[in-house]
Amino acid sequence: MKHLLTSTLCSLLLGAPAMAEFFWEDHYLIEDITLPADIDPQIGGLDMNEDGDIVACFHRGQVMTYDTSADKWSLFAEGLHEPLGIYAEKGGTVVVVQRPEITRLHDTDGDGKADFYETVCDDWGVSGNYHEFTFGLEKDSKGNFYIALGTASNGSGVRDEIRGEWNDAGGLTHDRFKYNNAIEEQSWASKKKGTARMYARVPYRGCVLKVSPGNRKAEVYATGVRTPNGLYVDEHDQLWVSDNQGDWVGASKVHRIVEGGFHGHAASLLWDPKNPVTDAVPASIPPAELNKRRTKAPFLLPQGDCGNSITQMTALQPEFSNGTAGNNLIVGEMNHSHLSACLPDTVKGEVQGAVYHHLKTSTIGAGNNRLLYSPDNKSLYIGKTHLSWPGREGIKKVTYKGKPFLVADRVQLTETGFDITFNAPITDIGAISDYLIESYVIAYYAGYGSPKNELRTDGITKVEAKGNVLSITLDKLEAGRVYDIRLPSSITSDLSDIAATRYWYTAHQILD
Amino acid sequence: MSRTLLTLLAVVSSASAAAKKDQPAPQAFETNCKACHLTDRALVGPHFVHIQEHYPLSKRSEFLEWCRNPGKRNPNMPQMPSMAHIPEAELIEIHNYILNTEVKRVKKTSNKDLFPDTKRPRVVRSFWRNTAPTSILIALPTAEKLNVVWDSEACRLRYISQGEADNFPYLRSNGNSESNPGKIIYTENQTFGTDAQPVFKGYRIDKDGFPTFLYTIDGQEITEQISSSGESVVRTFTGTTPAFSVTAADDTSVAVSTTSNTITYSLK
Repeated sequence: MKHLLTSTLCSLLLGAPAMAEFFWEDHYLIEDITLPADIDPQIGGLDMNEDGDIVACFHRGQVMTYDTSADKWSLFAEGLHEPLGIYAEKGGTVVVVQRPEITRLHDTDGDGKADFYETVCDDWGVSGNYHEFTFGLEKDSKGNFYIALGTASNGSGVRDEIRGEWNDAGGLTHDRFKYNNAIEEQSWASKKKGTARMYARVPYRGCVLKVSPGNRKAEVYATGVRTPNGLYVDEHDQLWVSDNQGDWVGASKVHRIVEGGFHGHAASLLWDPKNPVTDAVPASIPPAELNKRRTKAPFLLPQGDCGNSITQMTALQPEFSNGTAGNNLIVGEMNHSHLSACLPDTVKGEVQGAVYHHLKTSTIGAGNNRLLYSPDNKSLYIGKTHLSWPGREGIKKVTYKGKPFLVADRVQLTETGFDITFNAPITDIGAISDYLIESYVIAYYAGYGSPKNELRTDGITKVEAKGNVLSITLDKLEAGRVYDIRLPSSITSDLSDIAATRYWYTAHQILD
Repeated sequence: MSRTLLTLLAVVSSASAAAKKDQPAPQAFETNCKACHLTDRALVGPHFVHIQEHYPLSKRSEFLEWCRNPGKRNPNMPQMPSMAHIPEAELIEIHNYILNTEVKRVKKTSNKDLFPDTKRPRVVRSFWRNTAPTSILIALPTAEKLNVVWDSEACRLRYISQGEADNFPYLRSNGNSESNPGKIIYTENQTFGTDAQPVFKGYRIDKDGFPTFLYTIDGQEITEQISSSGESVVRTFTGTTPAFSVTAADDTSVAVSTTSNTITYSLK
């Protein structure tokens, strides 16, 4: 009754035709987790240890353990430098990644507090630029760790003392970037002209690193990331990395990392192990040339509409999502009150696919930085942060209530349009006039973000449902576009009305 | 039923009254600006009154230019991301909305640290002033609030400072400003008597909270504990210590004494 009332009210206010509405909170319980007292509650990483306790690292360097059944926090370690990733190992050790190193925390005397902070790997540069975050931490089935190094921002300079050898390719010397350059006596605002927007002048910034067991030496696993605040190794040991919109990143994106691959952001090409840029400012290389080297991201999340600052990914577990397919991902979002689901499709051997907003409801809130499932996969813990940007604090626990709802499992490109496969037969597809598909090109260039280039409304010639599959036929399809597919909220099934009506499909490839 | 209808009408009328009083925010503002810009107080970015003063209608083109290619004015605030993806017509709509929103009173925002940490001893990694960006501060339990800053790259003491060590400048600016170690009262240069680079292995924390740093030089394992004894700072070494020497800055209020495995620093 409440919902009927609300939708009636909406139609009265907006003068729109009465439509059914889907409410995520009919299907999910969203709760706040008790926070430890006297701690800045910004979460840098979440994991679960073998006892089923949550281990979390915090903005101000603490690592704490949360006994979920007793609702009790205890301090495990402290004093770390902006830890942004955590991995709880068998046997009680906890590995964290902080700005300068990967650290293994041991509780050797068993009193519940770490007493040995072991340096596992510190083989990368630190210029002191504020934007050089160190993100992670993921481990594959062979015990290799993966981290990703953020690039420096020309919103500011670097320190006089740095770790790692400065790379002055293209004539950009360390002196030019110093915060305090008494000789030139220029403000940073004037000095930054001529530097690239995001830069990577100390080793391996903008790269994904692999650290093998027992090896202090890091290996450059891939290049081309900007602010990669999300890593995920799936059950096939495939590494996924998210990146945030900015220079060379026309829209926030989810990368499927290829070993040795260049993933688009130019700055890190200074550190390509096989073919480094040695004689130029990478940002000055023509985009067309860089594009030939580039591995494109399967999922683009256009700014504002779909994603702003995306964060960690994990599997979209069927026990949580009520879906049926197993290869989908769910990714966090800093600026908006939702998470995003990524549905992979493979076209001509290239992985690409669609994104929709899962749990788009104001109760979720913004700042969704880290994701962790409960052991039964029915609950998702969301660790929040803001780091003085937009965001929130604390931890939300989101639990699927078990009441089924209509959700898309797959969006597949066909020769003529899109097939959207749901988890139940569609009983009403709505009116074709209520469907809207727009498409546009996201630019690849040194500028910040991308407008919707070559924006157009695509002609929809046919919509039909066969069982669980909704087929949309377009008058034409073109490769290299993002298709913003808007479905009517009147689509319904025996389970429920449709949960998500908007899908962004990245069509790098089309079928001939 | 009639009750429902009444409720409905009441909601509708109050909603329209609210719409008259406060102009609705354009969708582009909701999506792109709202998370950082509030009407009446600074959040991540400046509040409306500040923007109204900086970008009155006469500076429309400057407003548009800033949105497309923003810089950084306040060193303690993050830089605004570019809004080049928003079409000009919508940027103008946003500008009009900001200019036409009446703000009665601007609320002061506090720069106070809500979680100050003054515990001693404590070990804190941050961007500390006047040292490598990978340094570690040890706040010691002395009445004079002595702190040691130890460089985990060079594996040596860089300086001793006095006063409350504060990493809030770093936290507030997201690492753009350096943490304040207090007043630096002693700096030293140390050589290990070898060209080999030390390798930092980590540190142990004992029951009293004092750290022992572990590192190797030329494959030799060295441990170095930083602790305090009364009002003195004590470094205690084990392992085959290579011949190394410390050189204190000339003008210092700290006296240094050594034994075969300790260096003690006391206020003069």
